[in-house]
Amino acid sequence: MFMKRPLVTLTVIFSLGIFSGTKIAVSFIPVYLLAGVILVLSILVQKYRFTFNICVSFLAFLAGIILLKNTQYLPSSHISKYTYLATEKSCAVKGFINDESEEENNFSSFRFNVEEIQLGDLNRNACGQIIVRTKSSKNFHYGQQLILFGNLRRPFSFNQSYRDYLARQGIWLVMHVKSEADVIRLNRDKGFKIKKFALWIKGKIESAIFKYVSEGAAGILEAMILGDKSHIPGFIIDSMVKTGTIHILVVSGFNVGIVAFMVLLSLKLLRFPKRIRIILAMPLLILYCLTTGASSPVVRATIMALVFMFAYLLKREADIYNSLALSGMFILAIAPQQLFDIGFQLSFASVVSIVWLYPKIRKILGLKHLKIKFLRFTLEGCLVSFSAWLGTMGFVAYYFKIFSPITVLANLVIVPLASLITLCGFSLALAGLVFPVFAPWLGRSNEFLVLILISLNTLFIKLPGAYSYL
Amino acid sequence: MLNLSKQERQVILFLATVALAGMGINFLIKNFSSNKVIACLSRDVSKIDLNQADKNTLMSVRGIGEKLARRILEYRNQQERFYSPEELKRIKGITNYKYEKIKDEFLIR
Repeated sequence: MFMKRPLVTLTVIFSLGIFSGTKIAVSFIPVYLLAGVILVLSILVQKYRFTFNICVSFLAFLAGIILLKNTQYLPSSHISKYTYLATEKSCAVKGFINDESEEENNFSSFRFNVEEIQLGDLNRNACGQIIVRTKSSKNFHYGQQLILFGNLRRPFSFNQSYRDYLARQGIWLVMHVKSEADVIRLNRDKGFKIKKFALWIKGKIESAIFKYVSEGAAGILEAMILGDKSHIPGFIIDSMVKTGTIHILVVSGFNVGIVAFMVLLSLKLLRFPKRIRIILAMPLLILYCLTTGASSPVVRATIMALVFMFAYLLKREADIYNSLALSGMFILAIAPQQLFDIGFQLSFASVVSIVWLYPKIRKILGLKHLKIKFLRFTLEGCLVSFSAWLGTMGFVAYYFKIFSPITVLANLVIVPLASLITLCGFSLALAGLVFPVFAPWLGRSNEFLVLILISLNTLFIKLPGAYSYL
Repeated sequence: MLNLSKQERQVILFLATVALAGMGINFLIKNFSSNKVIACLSRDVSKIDLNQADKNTLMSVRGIGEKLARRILEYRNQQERFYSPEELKRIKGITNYKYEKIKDEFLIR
């Protein structure tokens, strides 16, 4: 497999480099110089296949370490250098909102890109992100430029894992802003226009969902379509972790597939040629990726879909392993710390196990020769679920400290139901935006399906031996 | 291990060179960026330094005439410098009331 897919080999070695970078106490410069020497050597020996392969592999390994060290090295103006301010001292920061704000219990919380910091009488240039928490009744939006007055603190956590999680995302400080009086809104917006447009679309879809569906069901629909789990009650998330079906609340390949299907079908109905349909569908998939927050599973699925589409346009055969490796390389090149993110690990582990393990088990069981179609279809569904469970079992046990034998059965029932809910949810979103007349009926159907989903999930938890904590 | 054609090797080397150069430039930018002061928002900008002011500068303060200004300068020469604006109260002609009116005009560096 690896001989025909050099990208897979290089991605694995690159990932090993990133992992080793966390274990090796070495600074950027020596590794960079070594990589430079290896690069020159690679250029000199490119005629000799074996030596070249060794050099390139070593270069990929070093590139992983260099990239990690580069992201960990922060400039002197980075906001994290002001952690000594993490006391009761008040300061002012100027910058812009870098993401959607979250509202909960009259508190707003958002990521803030710092550009300047005022300490005493001096204004200094600064960079980096902080999380801002404020008790403010007015809305905040992406790109809004603000001046904030408050206290900078290190994130509070009962254990080190929350701080580590924020540090991996480049956030070392949290600012508490007491009230609206401590917020100065500048009449200028920053940020990317395309991201603003994507968030605007997200807002419209959210409004459509909450208008026609009750709050509980709307929260689940919002998670399935837009990747926003903030409105789902905690006990539902907890029950889905126990049955191993929490992945249905994460936007991933299936959702991207539905969007691609709906776009291609709509363009087909409008009589566009296939090549034009694919060219038009690509930017829409990227837009959907941005709408859902561009998390690792969505980025992975979007890149894989784009690779397959490009392959069709270039009249080349698409390879799933290469597309998976490319998406992994893309994500890690931008954010090497994502290698340690649970979403990244689970997303890739499940796809790799389905793609690699499922055909092998299917061959061993000889399902291809089964003549009863319904039985073959059911067993194949079970096998996909079982393969994904095998691939992710270790990660789930490590992070959630839970073992769920019920996962295979639960996924066999819940995943098709979740797929139906997702399809209906997208239809509701589209109807809410374009054909509001049909939206109330679709809303009722969605509510009914969500109710069945929650009921089935609750039933599975109650079965003996469904799950156990480790 | 890696079954690469000649063109693929050249592409990989090109990409590796560009990526390595980019990482190096990024590191240098971070290394040589400084924590610059871009503005000094001192609220003391219009205040008078008691230890530097001459007679005319002192007289520009409302409530301080030529005699009072001279007494302030004499006090400063005797004590060598002011350590706090409150020392003005020790000067003849500056009552508590007058001090409260003029104290915000001065600072000590």
